[in-house]
Amino acid sequence: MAERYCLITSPVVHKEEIATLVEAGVDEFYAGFIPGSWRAKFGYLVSINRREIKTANVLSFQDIRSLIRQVHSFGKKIFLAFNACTYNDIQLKALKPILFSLEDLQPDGFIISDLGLLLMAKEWLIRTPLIISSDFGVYNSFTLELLESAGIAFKRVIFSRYLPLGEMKRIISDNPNREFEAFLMNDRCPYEGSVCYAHHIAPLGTFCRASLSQLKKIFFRKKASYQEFERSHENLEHFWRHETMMHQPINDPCGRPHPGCGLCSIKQLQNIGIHSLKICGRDHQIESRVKTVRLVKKVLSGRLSSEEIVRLYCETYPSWYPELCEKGYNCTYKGVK
Amino acid sequence: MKQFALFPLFEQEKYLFRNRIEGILKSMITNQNNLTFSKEMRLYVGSESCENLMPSRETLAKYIRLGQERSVSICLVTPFMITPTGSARLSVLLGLMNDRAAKKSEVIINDWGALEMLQKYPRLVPVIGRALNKMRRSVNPLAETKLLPYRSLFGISILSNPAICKFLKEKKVKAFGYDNLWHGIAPSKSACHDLKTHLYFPLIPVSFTSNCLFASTNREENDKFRCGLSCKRECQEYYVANSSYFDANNKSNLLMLSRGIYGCNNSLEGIPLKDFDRLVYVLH
Repeated sequence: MAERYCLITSPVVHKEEIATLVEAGVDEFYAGFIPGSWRAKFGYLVSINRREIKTANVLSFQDIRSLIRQVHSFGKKIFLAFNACTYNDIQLKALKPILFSLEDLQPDGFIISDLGLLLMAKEWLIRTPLIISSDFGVYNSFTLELLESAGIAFKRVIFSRYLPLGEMKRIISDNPNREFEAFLMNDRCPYEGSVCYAHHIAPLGTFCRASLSQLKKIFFRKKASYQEFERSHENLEHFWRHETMMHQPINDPCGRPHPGCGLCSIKQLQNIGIHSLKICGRDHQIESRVKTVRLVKKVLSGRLSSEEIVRLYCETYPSWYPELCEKGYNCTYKGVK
Repeated sequence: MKQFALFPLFEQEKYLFRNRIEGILKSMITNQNNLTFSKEMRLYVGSESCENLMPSRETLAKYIRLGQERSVSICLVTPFMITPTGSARLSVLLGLMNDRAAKKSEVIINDWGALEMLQKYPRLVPVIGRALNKMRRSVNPLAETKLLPYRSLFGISILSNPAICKFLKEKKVKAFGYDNLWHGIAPSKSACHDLKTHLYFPLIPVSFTSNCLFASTNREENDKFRCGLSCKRECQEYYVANSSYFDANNKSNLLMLSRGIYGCNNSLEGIPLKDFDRLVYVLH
């Protein structure tokens, strides 16, 4: 089967970043937006889009307008994320005028995770194309049938971080007229977004990063053999190392990568029919995002072997060890070569 | 009068005896408010956290038969993530429930796809499980302090949205699951007046992972912690817990049970029990 080209989808926060990101190879953008009207009611902590921090979001209508215009001036698309866990009626009431105002700015899509908001978007006659967020949780074709049966019109679906490639392939085959997006780089969260109910704020460390490293006690339901006892402890130590090693402070001067890399899986993702590859990191520094985009672009454009990809990765991030790639410590799709 | 259901996350078979469920119910209500329960006993079988833990066809058939003999109604729990491979297995189980279980047997839905699958089985009753009630479940006491001004907001579910109520009605959903959240819940804010409500306690899922710790137990290091691992149900043998992170304010420790991270809230104080039709006691 001929390899298809996948688009590179990258986060953007400021309009000044767009030219650099386009030059690096970005095909389409996504952004978060927390307007003053939302902040006045809910602050940053009641998330409108699952990034409860200033730096990951556009904060005014003026800025989002300039951002959308600038992206369009490069002939690219931009999608806006509304992917909070859930929106109740009070939040929906606040969201309605925001979506209507944004419609006038003509973004290319709203990324939505909540069934209630999808239903309301239909009721409000929102014209902006709807994109089903990974945080909605599409794991099978029946879910897409359910959305269709509810009259929700959508073109694109973003797969969950950890759906195995073989399962993605079956869903794509069942739905040839839809676009599918898959995670590729950064923000390798150990948890499943559609069923993670924790907050991204935490004075003790974000839940996703801190909780696993604290799981240190093993309880057996019945007496284990000594071998089982030993292997389960060894397994927990590996798990602890696996998770915590990836969640050390990032952006260090030695060039440590953000956790999560799917470079070795790009060929397979192309072959199963993925339309676009998502680079995460709305809160990452621009230098870091550009570095990632260039890396992805190189791998997408070339026909590199796994060894060459690892070499390229280590050149880009000098503090990385190729042995960690061998062990799959940073893999988004571990086991795919 | 409340209904009572038992949801053992593991070793479900040993709870097929009615007297065992009653024993748990009695020990539970001595510590709780003046609750009265209907005589019907329900046992939740299956898993909300992993499709590998769905019962085999033979096991489910046995549970249905034993449940009928011992006057225990069997409710099939489906996981939050049903892959195309898993949906083929689930179809078989739904077919069996439809053919052999009592009319109006319940299937607990934790993946929207399963709700669509269930539309083909008119004898079965869809009930939305707690994994699809995506209310925030903060277990971090310090984070909670920061969130204090918004606590009441976090207690309101998607049922406050009339469009959801209409949709669930169209899909013939009969009930919706809530967790006994630390920051409180407000089921009375629901716009779905026909929908029954179920309260799960004391184990509350805070998150689920796809990279199974337990399935990696007997694997080499470079083969561990990836999604879609086949397993020998190692999660049935052991579980893991933390010791300190969430100890402050005596809130809750965390347990990793199968692919779920659970906290525990034993207290029903402040929970409007009158607003719930069923208590679902979750134990591990």
